[in-house]
Amino acid sequence: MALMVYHMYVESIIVYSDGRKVMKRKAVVLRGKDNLAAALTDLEAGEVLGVEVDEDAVSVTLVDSIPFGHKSSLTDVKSDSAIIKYGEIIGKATTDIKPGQYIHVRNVASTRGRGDVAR
Amino acid sequence: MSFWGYPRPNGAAGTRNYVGAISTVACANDVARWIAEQVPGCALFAHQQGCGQAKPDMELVHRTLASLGCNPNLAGVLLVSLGCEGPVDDIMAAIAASGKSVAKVVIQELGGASAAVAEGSRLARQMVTDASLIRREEVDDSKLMIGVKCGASDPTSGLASNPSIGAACDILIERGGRCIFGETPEMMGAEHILARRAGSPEIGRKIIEIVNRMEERSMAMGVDMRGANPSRGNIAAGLTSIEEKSLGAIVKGGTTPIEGVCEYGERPEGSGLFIVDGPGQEPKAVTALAAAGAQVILFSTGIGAPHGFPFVPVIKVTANPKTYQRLSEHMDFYVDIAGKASHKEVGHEIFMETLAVASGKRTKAETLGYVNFTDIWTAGTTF
Repeated sequence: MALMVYHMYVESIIVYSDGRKVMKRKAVVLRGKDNLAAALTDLEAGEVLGVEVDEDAVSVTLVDSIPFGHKSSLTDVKSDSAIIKYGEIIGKATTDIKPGQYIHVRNVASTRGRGDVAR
Repeated sequence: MSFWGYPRPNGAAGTRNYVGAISTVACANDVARWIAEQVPGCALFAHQQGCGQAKPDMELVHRTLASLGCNPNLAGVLLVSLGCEGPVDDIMAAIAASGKSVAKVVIQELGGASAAVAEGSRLARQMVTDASLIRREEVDDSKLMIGVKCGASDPTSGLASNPSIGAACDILIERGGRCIFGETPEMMGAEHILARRAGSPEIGRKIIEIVNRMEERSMAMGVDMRGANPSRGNIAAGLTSIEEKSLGAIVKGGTTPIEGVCEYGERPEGSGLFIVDGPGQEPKAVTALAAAGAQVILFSTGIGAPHGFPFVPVIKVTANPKTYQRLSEHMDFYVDIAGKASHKEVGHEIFMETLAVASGKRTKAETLGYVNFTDIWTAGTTF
């Protein structure tokens, strides 16, 4: 399914579907710095997300299916580098992650869990 | 922009014009409730605290009662006391300092519940009559304090309703007003981010301190809150880490610097965004916002939290379409998660709705009367 992209605001990049008469937002990038999108509906592998980040157009083909509320990578993320949502680090990649791949506990580790508290 | 508020002697503005029937100890709750039921125009505040507690918790309870009495939504306050519980006169004096009328009835001194209800009702009726003479005036929105809370959250909260409420907070703060949010356990994992957003290093240290304190209380009971988050249910819903979960919660406060951290029951000074220490549990968390002086509360919910507060209107915001349909009698504002509007645009709509409610529009919780589920948080146990 082809997706149209609207870059409406710097802090909130919105991805729309072109597949229906009523435009529906399919995923949301909450802040411009984010390297992931959160699905606003169940997304299938093979769907194409088009995202404009500060006038850079990025086209991402989903490698995995992404359930509602879950996350897809938008960029190449090297192992041990930051996963960013809300413009902040929500964890570090535990393996290399490709654009369009599912991001979750299987490939991300928290940096603020129990281990960060020195006792 | 402005709203229509009730002018108070200290320059504050109320969005409602109740006389508060405030119980000063759990043992006086029934008498306070009977008075409130007899006198239309009264709002009851009852709770389970005020006796058999360690000194820091007693001080917290008295501070909270005084602050609640100072909330601009109350034109006058009747304190309902058993008698043996503590310094009711100090609470009275603190409320009187705001310039509003305040009185008390003491059950043990008056000779029992019946006499206290009779005397309390007489005093409350006079205060309601006095309050009824106050007219709404156009007030600059910089006099507004929005309390922000989320409860019964689901994935729509962090992705749509919380960021939209955050955008509404940014608008009010840019206009010189105040916003405050609490729920210290929800900050865990993102406290370093909040501390970075603090208006001063001291405020940043305080943010870390309240989160550490809350974590230590949990650890003292053998429960590792940080290790247990995100929960299995959170992970199934798509949350990967505790920082992601907490970021989704704190985004409801918007993006401005944190200008201060209040202890539970304290009132912030100055303008901007504030934090109040306390729990997430609704009846105690909303009390902290009302005590801080919030005249209106924005409450984000996913699954559907129904209740309001006796004298502060609570606007229920959801981005879950099923909740909005199924619980339509409880939900005030719908955020279309898949809609075209940005969070900033929706935030503007929420802000306009907030001004309408501040000016007198009734919330769903108010029309239902689903407002009397209140309590005060304490840090320690009851003895």
